[in-house]
Amino acid sequence: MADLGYIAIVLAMASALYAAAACLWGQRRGEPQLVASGRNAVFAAGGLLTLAVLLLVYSFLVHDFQIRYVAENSSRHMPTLYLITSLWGGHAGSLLFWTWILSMFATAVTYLYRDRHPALLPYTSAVLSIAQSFFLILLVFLANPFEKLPFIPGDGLGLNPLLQNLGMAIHPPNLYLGYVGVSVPWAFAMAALLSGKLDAGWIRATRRWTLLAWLFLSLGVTLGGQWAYVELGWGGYWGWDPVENSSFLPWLTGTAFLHSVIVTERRGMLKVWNMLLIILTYNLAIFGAFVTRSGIIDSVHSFTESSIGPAFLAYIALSLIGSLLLLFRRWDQLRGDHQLEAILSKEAAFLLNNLLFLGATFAIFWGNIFPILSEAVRGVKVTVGAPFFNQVSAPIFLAILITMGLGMLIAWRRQTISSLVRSLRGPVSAGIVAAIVLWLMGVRLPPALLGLSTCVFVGAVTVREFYQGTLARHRLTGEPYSVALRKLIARNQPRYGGYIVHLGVILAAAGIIGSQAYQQEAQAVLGPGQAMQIGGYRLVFQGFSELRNENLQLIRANLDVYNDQGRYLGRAEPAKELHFVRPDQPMTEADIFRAIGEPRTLFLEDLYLILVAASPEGTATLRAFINPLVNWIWMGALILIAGTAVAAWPEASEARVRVPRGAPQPAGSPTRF
Amino acid sequence: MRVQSLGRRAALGGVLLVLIGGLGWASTAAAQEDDLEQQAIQIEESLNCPLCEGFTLHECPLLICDQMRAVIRQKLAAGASREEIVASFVALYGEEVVNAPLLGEGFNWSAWLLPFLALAGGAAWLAYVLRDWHRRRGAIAELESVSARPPEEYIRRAEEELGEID
Repeated sequence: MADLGYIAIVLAMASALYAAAACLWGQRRGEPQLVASGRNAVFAAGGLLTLAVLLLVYSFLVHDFQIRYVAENSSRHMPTLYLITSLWGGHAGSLLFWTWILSMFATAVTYLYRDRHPALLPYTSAVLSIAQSFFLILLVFLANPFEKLPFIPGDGLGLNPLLQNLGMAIHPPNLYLGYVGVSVPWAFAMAALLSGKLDAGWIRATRRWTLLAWLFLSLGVTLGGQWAYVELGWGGYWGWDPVENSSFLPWLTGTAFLHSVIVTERRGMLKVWNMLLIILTYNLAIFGAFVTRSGIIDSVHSFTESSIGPAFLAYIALSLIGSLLLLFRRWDQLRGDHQLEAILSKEAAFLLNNLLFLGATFAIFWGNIFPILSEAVRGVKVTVGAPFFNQVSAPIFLAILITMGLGMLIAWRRQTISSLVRSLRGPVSAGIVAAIVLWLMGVRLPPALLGLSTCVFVGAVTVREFYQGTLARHRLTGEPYSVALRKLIARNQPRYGGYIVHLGVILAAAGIIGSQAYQQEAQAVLGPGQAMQIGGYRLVFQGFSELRNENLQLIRANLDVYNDQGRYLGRAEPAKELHFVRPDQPMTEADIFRAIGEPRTLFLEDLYLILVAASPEGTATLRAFINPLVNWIWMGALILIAGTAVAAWPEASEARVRVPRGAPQPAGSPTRF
Repeated sequence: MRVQSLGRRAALGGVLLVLIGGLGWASTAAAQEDDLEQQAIQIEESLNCPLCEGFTLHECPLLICDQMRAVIRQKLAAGASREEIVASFVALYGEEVVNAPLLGEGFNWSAWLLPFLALAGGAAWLAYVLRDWHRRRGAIAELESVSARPPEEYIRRAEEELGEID
């Protein structure tokens, strides 16, 4: 099995290298047969990598411990689901998984567009194959997941218990889909540079791919936060850990890119800027993989430290320099004669948005690498943690929120100050009223007050966009409001899908502000029958219960929860879990208590309970948190998914008028976001 | 000319505003302390466990961290300031025990300031680019209005040539 898997990887490497060479050479020399052969090699690499992944999964399922990777990342007693997810539990396997996803994207793009974009596609396939070749070279020479042990152990070491969680089963694939998905627009951009077809064709071709990659990045980041919240048991969801930050960076530049391409579509501006953004996004995605894999920045996430860091760094340097050289070669052709009718215009607002997103990216990137810089410059390794990131990035994110609101109000080309002031009146009033109400409700911290009322302001702008559009349709056509709203969205899905995403972001932002500013915390050591108090809840400890199976031992603290009127709400069971394969690493199983009879636990705050320690004498050390509005973050993510789906869904008009395969794209056909 | 200097002033104002806003926020966010317990928690959250990677002193379950937490409370009760307490831990464990770059050290200032300076630089550049594009639009509009009328020389020659045909 191990030999077969390794052969599959070696052959996939050969296929990818051939595909890159054949597509490039064939297109340059005008030899369609060579291009077709290169295309087949892309499919072959995809097939071989699929085989390799299936073989590794099979090896996990049959406990083939002769394979080092299987022995180090699984054990006989693990449930089937986690045996499968062990595929990406360590570094060689996650590299294989990453490469496989990339090969699937390359195969899909090469197949789906085989008759379209004839000038771009061979180059796109070539660029994707070059990227794939890099990872395959790593797999073949530095991180072979099929490496054999000189002996066959009786059992494996098991997967890190922290990773044995449903969130962890879906968080990495999501993030990888996002990271790798970014390769597609990047490859199309490089193809545009290589072929000299520098119109917006590559943007149109990759619109849905970009949205898909962005969606997966968003989900990856959110699910990572959710996993940390539920599984790590420290009461928070975002620790500004270097790996978390690295997953956030391509999301930030990707968001800037999504906005800047709108300006290109509408006004033909910012072509160089788009290229720079997608190059940056791609390389930040690889940087994210590099940080996770190299362990260069100490982090709780570096489960998978390895010695392949230098190879990653070399690839980032090569792809960055290569992409930039290609861009400089076409610089003069891309530079348009930009004109702006008025400084106060949507174009300018989009540029401001881009500046702020890049500012946030730089701030976080800078904080991420500062410990290494400090060590190099001063010989002192400093820590850059949450206090730094919160204080530096909070004002930038506040500015992004405000720009989001203003940007939606300002018109393309020109906006007069008086009409902007007129349209600002309603939303600003909503923000001011919200600030007063929040003040009266006891929200007195200036950053929270400012942040939350800004959320209300931006929310009001967004809702007004829907309201005014629906009202106008209703007056014009007499349609009922619900029909008018549906048709309004259907007529311009990218725009209104984007606005729905904005609503999700606003909700999540409010959740982040609320939970950061107003978290409450209490800790107590309780004997049976004793109680502790936090934020209007009374928790009575009723002793421990224990559960034991072949894999683990679970100790639960039984807590009766009462509200401030003394009404019984239910039982909470925070626990400690000991996996026998990793006895040195007891796990904290937090209980996020919810009671249907107490709506605030459903919508407004999480009562988050942790069993810190259980003493042999029967006392429990308990830590309780009130985390306000955390739920809003997850709800915001759901709305964001819905909005992205609306924006990416094929439009009704698009479905009716299908352009036949091979027919040239109509010039200037709009691609809207 | 006046418009230009006005624009420059506006750009400078924008840059200053970003800087002041950033620093203002940083200082307000740092200054919210209700009582000693809250202060103790804030100090704990600004320090790292000296042994574990990636844990703050507040979260860490180790015994040494329990002791350090107790020391913080004792010192607070004795009237020590946050800065004094942090400094005492830095003296014991080195700068790495603090969760964010300390401002006493020259190089660390760059950690805090560079993001805002970069943003301010970006804002200035953006203001320049936008004004340049706007000016170009104005110049082209002016050119269009001039070129709408054919030059006098052209009219004279056209009339002459027409005369020759006649």
